[in-house]
Amino acid sequence: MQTEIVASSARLRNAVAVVTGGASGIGHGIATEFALEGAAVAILDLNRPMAEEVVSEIKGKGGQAVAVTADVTDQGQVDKAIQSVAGQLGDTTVLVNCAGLNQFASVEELPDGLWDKILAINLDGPWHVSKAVMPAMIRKRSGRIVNIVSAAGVRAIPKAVPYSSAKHGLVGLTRSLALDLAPYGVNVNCICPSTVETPLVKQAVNSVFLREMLKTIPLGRFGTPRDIARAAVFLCSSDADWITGVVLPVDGGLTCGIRAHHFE
Amino acid sequence: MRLKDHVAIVTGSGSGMGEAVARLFAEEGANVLVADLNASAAQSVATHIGKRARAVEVDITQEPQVVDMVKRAVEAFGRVDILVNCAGMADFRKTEDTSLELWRKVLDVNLTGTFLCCREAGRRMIEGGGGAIVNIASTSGISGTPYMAAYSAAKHGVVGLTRELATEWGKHHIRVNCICPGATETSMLLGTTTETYRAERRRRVPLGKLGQPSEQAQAALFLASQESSYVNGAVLCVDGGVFAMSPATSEAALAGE
Repeated sequence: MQTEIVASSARLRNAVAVVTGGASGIGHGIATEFALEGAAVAILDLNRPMAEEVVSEIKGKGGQAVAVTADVTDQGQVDKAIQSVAGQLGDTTVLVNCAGLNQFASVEELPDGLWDKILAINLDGPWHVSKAVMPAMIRKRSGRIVNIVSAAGVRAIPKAVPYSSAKHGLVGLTRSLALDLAPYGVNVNCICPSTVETPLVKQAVNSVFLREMLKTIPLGRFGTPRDIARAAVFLCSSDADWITGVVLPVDGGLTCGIRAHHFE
Repeated sequence: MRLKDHVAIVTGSGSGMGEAVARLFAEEGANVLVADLNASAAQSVATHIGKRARAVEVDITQEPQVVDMVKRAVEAFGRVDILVNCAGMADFRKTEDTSLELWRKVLDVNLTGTFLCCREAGRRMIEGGGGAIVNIASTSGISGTPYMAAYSAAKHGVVGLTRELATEWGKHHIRVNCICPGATETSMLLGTTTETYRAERRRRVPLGKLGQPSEQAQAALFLASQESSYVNGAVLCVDGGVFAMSPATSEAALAGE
């Protein structure tokens, strides 16, 4: 049953979607998929040239997109970027927090400042952007926020104390924002992807580490940015009107199991 | 159309969520086997859907009937791509008043029946090279619900079965996921609860309303279609935010006082 679905009619028409980290990887996949589904997309990223490339790509396919530059750890920059989106596309109706960063380090030798840096990007960042888009969503009594967490947000991964902690925190931010914004018709959910096949992962796919990791995924393959993007489309569409505060794994079955190796 | 020419078996589809799933899947292009304990209810849903649907009477606790149900789907439509297990029963009762007979019946319908349907449809999906199974569990399958000992235990079992099958059948390209609906206005809910109870439940839903069968059906459509191609072993709450909230949340806090 690996047949491609027939593209449904645009499910995010009239949406103004901000995708943080939208210039590459999963964020890139989400930005392009959202544009295909009819959303006007703002790529909020630190890397301006790459964000502009994604904008050209989307426009080339007939979609609507703009690039805005901001460091998500800086509330002032984020506020300005969201104001700029409002001026160009209108108020943000959908936010996908995808910007994130991990840096592996053993806990005994954690470099000074790494904890603060990783927490700032992965947890403060989504909070800053949520805070910036909330007033318009509250005013309009509708909106969607999707946080891209990680399997590390529900299960710990080794040598990533700051990252696992931040991502667990992001699950908490998702649930508590969901609760407090529900009276305003704003749904807040999160997606937990496992390893996604980005160019970087593809290059390293022959490494022993990744080969071993693949054995732990019941579906027997790594995820793609589009796998994650389509789940995000669902959560941002009217199909998910009664869904809020959920943690949706998009991980091939990785985190529903306990044993390291599912295959004989 | 998001399920064009797929073949789906939907149990418990003579009414409620199952009916909503069967109708939505047919609208999205699927051929649907409408399976229900109530033959006339199944027939009426199938008739309403039209040529894309067939009705079958099935008691999912009876192994030969489940075997026959899957056979009927293959005879009618050639294969099985999707199974949605909606058939279930609820009962409110103090545990100290719950008979062994009732316990067994609730376990049989909700858990053993689901296992039998998964096994039989799964065999066809393995032969056919893949598929998708969606089990309708319940928020009672991931939390305790007073006066529903057998139901809570059975639904926890459905969640466990879902996770187990997701790890075991992933290699056959069969994705197995479940939905945990919160209180949804189906004939089962309306028939087993009072309006006072439902008003109380409604007050405690962050999104401020009870669920509709169509909303559960949309989640089932996502999990049955290729849009969820990498979602496996997921437990998806469709509950208006109830599970995200601490049960300790007071009425006063909910009212914003």
